[in-house]
Amino acid sequence: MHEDTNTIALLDRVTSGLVTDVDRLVEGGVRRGRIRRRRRRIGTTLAAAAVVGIIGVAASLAPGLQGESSTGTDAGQVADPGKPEPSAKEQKAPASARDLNVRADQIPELVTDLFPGAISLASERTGRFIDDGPETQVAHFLWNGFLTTVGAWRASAGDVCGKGKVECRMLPDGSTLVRWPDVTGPEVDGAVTGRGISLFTTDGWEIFTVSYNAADGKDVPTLAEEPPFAVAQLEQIVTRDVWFR
Amino acid sequence: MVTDQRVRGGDEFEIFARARSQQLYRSAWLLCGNIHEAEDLVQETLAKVYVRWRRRFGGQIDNPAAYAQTVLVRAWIDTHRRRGSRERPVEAVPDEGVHDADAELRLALRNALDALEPLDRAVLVRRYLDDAPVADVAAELGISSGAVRNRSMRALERVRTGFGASLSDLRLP
Repeated sequence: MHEDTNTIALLDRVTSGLVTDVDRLVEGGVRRGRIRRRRRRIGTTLAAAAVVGIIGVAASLAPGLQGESSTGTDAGQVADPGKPEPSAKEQKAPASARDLNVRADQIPELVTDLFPGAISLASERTGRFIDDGPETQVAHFLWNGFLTTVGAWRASAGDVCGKGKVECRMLPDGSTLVRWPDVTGPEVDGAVTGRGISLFTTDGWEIFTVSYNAADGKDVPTLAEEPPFAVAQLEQIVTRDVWFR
Repeated sequence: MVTDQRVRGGDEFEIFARARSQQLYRSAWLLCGNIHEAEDLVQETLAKVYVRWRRRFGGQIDNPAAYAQTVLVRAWIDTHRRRGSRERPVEAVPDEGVHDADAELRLALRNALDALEPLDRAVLVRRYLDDAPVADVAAELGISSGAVRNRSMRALERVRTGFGASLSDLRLP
């Protein structure tokens, strides 16, 4: 029993009249949670690979991650006070958003359907196949010995186009194709180069792929001067009509 | 090709979040003193609980409601530490979410809470709004039970002073 029931009554009375938009809070909380989770996932894969260049590509492939890291958001930090998440109407994914039809471990086959090659496991530290249920499916694997990353997650092109050195192109169906600049890690880490493409669909998905010119992101010799997949080939991967139900 | 279990997990979290958000918001408002920061704090709290909720291994939360309250208070303390104790955001516009007869009382309480040290404020909110046991509050804030009791007393005294009269003089329902 508390010694001061008046205090309890006061706090209860004063706060019981506070009204907030619960839907907006929940939407914003889930959205931030997904970003945190995604960042953590990628953080244990590409960040574990510790390749500056690849991390750069990965960060640009994940606008949410880029946004968080650039603002210094970390566990425990309340980001950007005074500017809570936009209203539910503003940030809600389209009601007609499709469900993913691909699991992470099926992704290599999607690539070899288009570009036959020998598939083998990537190094363990990449995380290899990240099955994050309905939100994220990412595969890191070797295609003819070259590290290749392909995946899909929730994201919006509006978060990346117009920022940095990305090239954005709208496709006839309204989706946006984003060409990320090639990124090369430092010499001391092996100077691995990553080349990336993303397709942002109109219903809020990002399909992305990164091709590397080495078997891993760091401390391995490069196998070629450039990544094995050309930009046009990467486009074919992300624009396949197999990603959704 | 996602599993139903995963989908259900997401739904369960949203059900939990909707059920708890109002209470979290009340605590957050008492801690932050304004609606914008309070909403931001609640969203950050939900995000952290979401991550834990969806963790594949070791994600089981025995008492999600209590866990969320703990996360909220810790997040606020951490934020406050980072900002520095002297920084106090100034609200230039009135709380548009506040349109009731208790507005004046709420403003007075907020001013009184603003005068408290962060830990005292957190102790007050956890003890008297959330009705959390002393031992729990001590564990959450990393202080002893005795310190929680001392801070409770000190916080209450200062709030009373802030009101200019004993809380018992307030006409409470």
